[in-house]
Amino acid sequence: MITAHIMPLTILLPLVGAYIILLFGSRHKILARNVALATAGVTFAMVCFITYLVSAHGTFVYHLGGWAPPLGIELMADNITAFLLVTFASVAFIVLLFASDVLPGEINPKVITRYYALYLVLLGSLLGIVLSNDFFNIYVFLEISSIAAAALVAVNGDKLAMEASVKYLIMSTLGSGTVLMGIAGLYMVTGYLNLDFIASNLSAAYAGYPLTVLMTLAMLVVGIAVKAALFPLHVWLPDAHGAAPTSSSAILSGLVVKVYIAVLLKLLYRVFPLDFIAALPLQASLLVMATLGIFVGSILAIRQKDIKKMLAYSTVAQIGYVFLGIGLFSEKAMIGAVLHVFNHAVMKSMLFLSAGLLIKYSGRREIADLAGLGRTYPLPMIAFSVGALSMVGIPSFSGFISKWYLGLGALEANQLLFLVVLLVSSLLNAFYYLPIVIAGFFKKGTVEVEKQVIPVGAQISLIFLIAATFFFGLFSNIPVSYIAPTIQGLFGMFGGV
Amino acid sequence: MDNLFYAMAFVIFLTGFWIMLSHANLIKKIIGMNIMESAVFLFLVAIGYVRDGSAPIVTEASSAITYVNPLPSALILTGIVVSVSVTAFALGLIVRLYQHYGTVDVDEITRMRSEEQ
Amino acid sequence: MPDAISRIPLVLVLLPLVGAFGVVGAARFGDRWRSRMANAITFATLIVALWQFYLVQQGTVLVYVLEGFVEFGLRWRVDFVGAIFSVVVAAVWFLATVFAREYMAHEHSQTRFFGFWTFTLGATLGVFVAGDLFSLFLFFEAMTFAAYVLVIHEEDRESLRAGNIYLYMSVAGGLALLAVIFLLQFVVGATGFQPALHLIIEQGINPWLVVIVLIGGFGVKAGMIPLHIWLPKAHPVAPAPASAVLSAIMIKTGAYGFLRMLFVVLSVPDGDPLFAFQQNFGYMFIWIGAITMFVGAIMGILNDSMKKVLAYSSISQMGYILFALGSGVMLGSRGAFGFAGAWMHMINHAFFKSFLFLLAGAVFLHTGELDLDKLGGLRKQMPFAMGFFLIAAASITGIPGFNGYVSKILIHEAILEAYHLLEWPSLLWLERIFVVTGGLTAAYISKIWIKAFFGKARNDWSHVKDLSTSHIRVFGTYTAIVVTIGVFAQRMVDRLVIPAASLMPFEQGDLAHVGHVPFWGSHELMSPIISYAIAVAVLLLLWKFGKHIVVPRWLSVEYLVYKQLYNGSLGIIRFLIHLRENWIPKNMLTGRRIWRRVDDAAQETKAQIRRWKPPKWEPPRWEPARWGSAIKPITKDDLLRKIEATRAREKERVQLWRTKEGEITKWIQRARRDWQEKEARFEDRIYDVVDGIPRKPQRPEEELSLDERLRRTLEGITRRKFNPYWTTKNLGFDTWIVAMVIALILFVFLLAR
Repeated sequence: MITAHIMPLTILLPLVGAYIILLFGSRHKILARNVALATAGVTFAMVCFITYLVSAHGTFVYHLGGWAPPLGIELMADNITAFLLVTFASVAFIVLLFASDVLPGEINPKVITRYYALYLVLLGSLLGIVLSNDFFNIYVFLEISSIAAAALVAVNGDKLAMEASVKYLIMSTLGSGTVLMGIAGLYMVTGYLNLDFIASNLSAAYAGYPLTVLMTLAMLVVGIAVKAALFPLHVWLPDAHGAAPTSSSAILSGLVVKVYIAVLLKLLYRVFPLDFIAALPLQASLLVMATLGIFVGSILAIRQKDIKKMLAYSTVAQIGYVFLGIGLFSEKAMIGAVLHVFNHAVMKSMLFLSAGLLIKYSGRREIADLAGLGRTYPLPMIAFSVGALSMVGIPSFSGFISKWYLGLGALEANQLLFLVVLLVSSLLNAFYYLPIVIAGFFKKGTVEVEKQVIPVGAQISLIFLIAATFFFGLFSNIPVSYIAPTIQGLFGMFGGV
Repeated sequence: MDNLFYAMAFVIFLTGFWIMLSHANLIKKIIGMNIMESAVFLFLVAIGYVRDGSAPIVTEASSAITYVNPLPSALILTGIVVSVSVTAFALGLIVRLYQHYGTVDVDEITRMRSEEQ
Repeated sequence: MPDAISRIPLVLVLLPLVGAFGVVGAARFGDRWRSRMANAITFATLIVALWQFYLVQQGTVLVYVLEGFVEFGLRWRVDFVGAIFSVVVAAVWFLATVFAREYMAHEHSQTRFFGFWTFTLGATLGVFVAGDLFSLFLFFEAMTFAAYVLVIHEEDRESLRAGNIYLYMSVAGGLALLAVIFLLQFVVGATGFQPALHLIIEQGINPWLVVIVLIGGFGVKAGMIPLHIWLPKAHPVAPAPASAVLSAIMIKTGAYGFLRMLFVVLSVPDGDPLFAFQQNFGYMFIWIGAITMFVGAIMGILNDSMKKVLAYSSISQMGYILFALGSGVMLGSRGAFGFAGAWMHMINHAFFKSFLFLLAGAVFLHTGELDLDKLGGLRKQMPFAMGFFLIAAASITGIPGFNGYVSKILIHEAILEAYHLLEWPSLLWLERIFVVTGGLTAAYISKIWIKAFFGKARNDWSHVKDLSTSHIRVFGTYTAIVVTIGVFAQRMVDRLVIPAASLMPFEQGDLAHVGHVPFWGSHELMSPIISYAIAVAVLLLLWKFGKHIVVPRWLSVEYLVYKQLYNGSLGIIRFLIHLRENWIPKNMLTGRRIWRRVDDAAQETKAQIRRWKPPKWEPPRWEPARWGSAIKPITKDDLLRKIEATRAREKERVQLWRTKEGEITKWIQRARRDWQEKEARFEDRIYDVVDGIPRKPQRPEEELSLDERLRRTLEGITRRKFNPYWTTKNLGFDTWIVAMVIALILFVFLLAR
């Protein structure tokens, strides 16, 4: 019975877990923590099971309440969806493992149970966005995720985080409102909310109401771009990710901005036909904004003194990469974009978590003060180095693989310029990551730190992430062969560009 | 004149959008957000209207009558709930911000923050 | 050559890579176990390399493929070229490891050093046995990062700065190499070493673009001018064994990459219409090699620190290799001599350069000095070192009977052959540059030898011991190798070079010619004599006028090109950020506030206008003039009063000054100290790429009008206030010969061709 209903259970389980934590958690803190970990773990297991089902049986759907579309809400899992689900569930679990040990020192102990609850709500909403095949359902989960994410930033109640959270919330709501308007526009012209039905009716709708469809597409793309922090709509990101507690930053940078890209993928590749999009200047504008985002993000990251803000600006640059992959409209580029979603989630979480540990144990946030910490705390520094080398694009780390596919995609689409952009930005990445690694290991420390023991959960999570970076850098066949057939099918179905 | 509702809904949407961007007062921004969302709900409801349709309630004597589309009403109910929760959360954050900074003016808060740093 | 699948190449690479962890683990049991482990692993690697060479010599090419690893599998492919060089690498590394034990005995972080040392060996071997460009790239990057730890071993400011430049330039070079890999992958579908020029042109990609990017990629590693600036910084700051290995082996990876790419991937058969490309590539490489060798040699003469001279010597010798490569490529199927010269010189240079660096390290170990001005008269204390140095110097200058002679003759023949075949006058000039550089090489090596071991002793050398037995054994092995290659020149060429050259499509006649070079003929024996004649002349000139040569600090590739690029990009970025912060409204709706301000200003003006009252004006009264009324006579009392008042004022002032004097002096001292501190901190942060852009000084918000802001911005730009780096001091310098050489080349270009 569970097998048949695995999909809604995957979404529901974290939400139920959050509810249970809120009920009992304020008295029994250890119980709250264990419930949270257990829920995340079981969710991860269920997501793996969905992946197995998809690889064994192909795409499958679930009708909520037994009502078939277009009357009912549909949940769908195919290869790319399952891949994204595994990304979100696994990284969320690992970061929760880290957070359960590190949080008590970082935020007010009274709000820790709320933190776990919000975290699980966020996880549930992320899974819901990815699984759902119905546009309004996506919108509801979108809003839930934005509230939960803003709350995760503000949970500790300090000044900086509050202000960042308000800014985040307002810009996020702007984006959601625009998305909702776009959804309403699509409903108006096609009469359906289900993605597949919209796709099949879209050409008829475009024949009848061309301007409305164009405007709808514009509103949807802009709304998603605001939430996914595409340049120049990224201004909320550095404050929010810099001011949040460590595990929140990791989740926000790694997962939350990516889920909106998943929505964009669904939108551009399943709802709107490719030849329609190719006729618009959408590709050019996405590419231009992505390139600007890459450069501006990298250059501003070089200037930063605070390590978390630097990592946030780096996220802006990496989102630029993903949009570059989406905007190139070629097969390899899209494989690169989807792979980069996964690789960046792993790398950025690792970077944020190790930076968080270094900040916690040295008490300083400035990059110049982190010199020499590698001798006292080798594990976080090694994790940071692995993440940094992966970001620069050294082969045998996972970051190289996604850049490889993006580069090949750029060549496939006959845009040599973006290959140059890719390589130059890798050099810029080296300029702001490598100094920290060098200073951490090879310079004399300026801050007196005594060696404290890092909690076991934190160590395990870092080791897992390092292992994942190496594993998916060396054996990249596994994810690529999983998602490549679907992407080839997408391009084959629409004739490619 | 057929599309009056849609056009007005867009006008109100843009008004709300503009308010969210232009005013410095945070409370006014939230009001703008509510206006914006209300515009979207208006838009959705207006989509659902069928000319000469009756209320979508099924009784025994009604089998061949046109009904107004009930779906958008359900959608906007969900939307209103979402909007209310976002408003509540945002207002709570603003109250805490006021306690910290003593003002709800975004420019003032930014200035105070940059001074602190 | 039949391909045979064998695990030996995999073992060859994995053994040191995994052995690095073994060395770190053995360190737990003590220093001796660690060095035993390191020696054992390097020796085992040498054995595996020899075994591999034995297998390859029988005519097979060893191939191994790891499927599915890192995207499309790693490929190993060992042919004759790779096999010989693996042996050379392993041999040099082993000898350096044995040397390193005693050298590093009093250093810090030895475990880290030896661990990364062994890892670098594995990565370097991986480069030479890689089967396609992608595997080469993977091991290339691993080698770069592992060698970084060796370079910055000392961890002082100079090492860190040198390491930074090395790292960033190598990363940039690696990315250029990645660009080439992307292009090849896209064009051919695989990055193996197969001829691909046709496919590249078919796809519409300009092959010059590929070559320029390739030069950027491998040129950084090969120490090619103008990408060489990291070499003279990084090689001297590393410990001596690391410098030896860096100079001898790691810069060869660049040359090896060029060899594979130019001779195989970008080459076409002779009659092909695309042959013009290959010829032009070769010609360009000859010129690059000539400039590199000449400038490197000049800099070697002008420097005074032993390791720095040897570093420039490496640049110069790499110029030889590129020179020979170029002539080989340019001649197509007649280029056997060029290939032979380049290949032989790669092998020979590996041996004698590591020999020289280890000797310099031994001198440093025993005397503590590297500066030639402070050394002198060591011949009594270190006769063995002097003898070995003489042998090494003989190799590098090309005295018959030592190995340098063999490769120099081959390179000389190569350029002469090119001139005979093509009859371009510029080639004759290049040959002359080659001969002159040979003389300069002899000059700088003799300079080191004479200055270090002869002359007046500048310091007290009575406590200096000569080389220890293990070191003597190491150097003895080097001597044996060098002398063997030198004496049995013909046989060495037959066994080492001809089989390698037969892999390429060279004409048989040329190959036979290479096998029969009259190494002991009179014409060839003249070359070292000419070299030494030039050397004596140069040394005399230097001795007489050396103190008068002052090289301007601003004339160097580093200052002219890199600094300007760096400052320029920083300036642009700071200007853009200045624009963003001061000109673009922070709030979207500043427009509203501007209107409000205009409104307020208007109100204020109106209020002012309203408040203004016309001044009271009275018509002047007419008064009759009175004589003498305007002038008041000065009385004596007035004068006295004035004097008193002045005196009182002065007294007050002096009293005030006396009370305040101490305070003022203290204030001045404090201000001066603050300013010096600020200067020092500012100086510290100038040159590193790491530290980002300095903050601009915090000024309080001023209400400036638009005109004023515009004026200040323009003034700031023209006065270069955005670019304080103009005042920084330099770190290293090359010479004004660069300008002369460029002028020379332009002149020759106008004359020749």
